[in-house]
Formats: sequence, structure tokens, C-alpha cells
Amino acid sequence: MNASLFLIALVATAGSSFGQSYKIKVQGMVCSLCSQGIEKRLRGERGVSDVKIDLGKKEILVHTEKNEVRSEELKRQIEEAGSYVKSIEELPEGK
Amino acid sequence: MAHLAVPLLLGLPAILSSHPVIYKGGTAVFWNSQPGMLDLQANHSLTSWVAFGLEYLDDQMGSQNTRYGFLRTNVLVKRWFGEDSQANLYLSLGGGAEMRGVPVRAALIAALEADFETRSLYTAFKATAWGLDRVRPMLQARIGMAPYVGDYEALQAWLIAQAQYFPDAGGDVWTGGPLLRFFYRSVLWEMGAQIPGGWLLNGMVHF
Repeated sequence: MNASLFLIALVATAGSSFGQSYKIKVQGMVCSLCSQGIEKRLRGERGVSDVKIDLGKKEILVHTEKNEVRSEELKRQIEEAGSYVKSIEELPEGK
Repeated sequence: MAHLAVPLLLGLPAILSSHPVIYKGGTAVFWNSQPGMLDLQANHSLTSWVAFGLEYLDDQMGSQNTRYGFLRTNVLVKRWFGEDSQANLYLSLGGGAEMRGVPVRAALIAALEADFETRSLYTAFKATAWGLDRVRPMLQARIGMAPYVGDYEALQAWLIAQAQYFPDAGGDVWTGGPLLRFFYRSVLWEMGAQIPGGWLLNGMVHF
């Protein structure tokens, strides 16, 4: 019984450390040179493990190592890069 | 080839329109050169709307033979975000020294820049004036198009037509011509030709 509870707790803990992915819609993101600043700001945020920018879809995919990175922080970093955040969507795991 | 390298790097016509304010914490270094003029700048953005920088301007146009050093403040006055476009208005003011013999004298510089761009269309306008006893104004305008729409990781290319009005040029007051602009990641470079003559070579790097 104790071993089962331990395993369940271990799996739950491991699951929460998988992190979180966000799909961020950005307005006015037309230039790849200017968008470098967005990537630099986001990668400088602690806990962010990957950033993918798609100019065609006007969206940014951000993956965080842990769930401790809040979407408000990501929004702030993008705005400090000079862009406008239209929406932020938390993606289900595995997306 | 070596005899071409020095004029290519130091004395050729160019107009580089660039954003004087970039992302918070970012630094943009760029140079502009055209016959008789070399402009070097480094601007550091404290926020996404204000940047401070240093400028060295070597102005040999017309009867002028003067070098300037400025401390600049650049402000993003307004940015318009469209669904597929962006437009910007910048104001820059600076103060420094005019170096034409002895004594060194005070000088000012002011610039107003506006641009509008989509992923395939680009326009820009810039008005600059510098000096103190004798103010030297310059107007520059550009329109460009992208032959293909590259994604974020791709090499971007632009075909641009530019015009410049400099009443104190001493020779051709109006100049203009085609140029090619490329950028890849944080590096931008431009090359082209100018009517009535001369090459063009510009560059900019974001750190």
C-alpha cells in the first residue's frame, strides 16, 4: 500500500515537472530582425526552455521546464521587446 | 580588389534606415556611409521605447570638413500594431561637439523617423538636421518590397528604392537609386548603387 502511494506521488511529481506550453498570438510581428528581440527576452526568462516564432501564423510557441513560469511574465517579456500580445493560450500536454 | 576595399568601406553612398530603439536591454550598432559622409552609431535600449547612444558623424560634404560626436536620446513616440503590419514614429535628439579645428564647439542633432512595414512592403522617411551655427538638414525616403516572404529562420531579402535630398551637398542635391537589403537573425546588410554614381554598403547588428 505504501509502495503504491509512493509510486502515485512520484508520477504526479514527475508530471508537474514536465512544464507547460503556451501559444501566444502577437500583433504587428512582421520582421524577423525585430522579432529576434522577442526570442532573446523570452529565452532570458528563467524556466523557459524553448521558443519557436512563426511569422506567417503571427504566433509564438513557448515551452517552459516547470509550471512556475506565469503567462503574465511571458506577456511582459514580449511587450518589453516592443510587440503587442493579442492572446495567450495554455496548450494541453503533448501539444 | 584591395583598391576597392577602402572606398567600399569608407566612402560610399548609403542610407540605412533602422530602428533607433529596439527591445529592452538590446544594443544596435550600425553605420551609414556615402561619398563625403560617414555616420556610426551605437544605441542601447533601456526600455522598448527609449534608447541612449553615441554617434560619430564625419561630414565632408560640400565645403564642410567637420567631425561631430553626439550623445543621443532616441524615443519611440508611437507604434501602431496592425494585424499584418507595423508603423513607427521615432524622435531623436542629441548634443555634443563639432570638431573643425580649434576650438571645439558645441553642436546639436535632431531626427524624426517614420516607417510602415508589412512582410512584403516597406516604406520609411527620415528628416535629420545637425550643427549649431550652420544647420545642415537632410531628408531621406525609401520604398521597398520583398521578392519572397521568408519565415523567421530564413534569409530575408528586400528590393528598395531610395531618395535623398541634401541641400548642402555641394554637388548633387538629389540622389537616389536601388539597393538590396538582406538580414539574417540579428545581422542586416545592404548593398546597391546610387544615381548619379557610387556604390552602397551598410550594416547593422543587434546585440
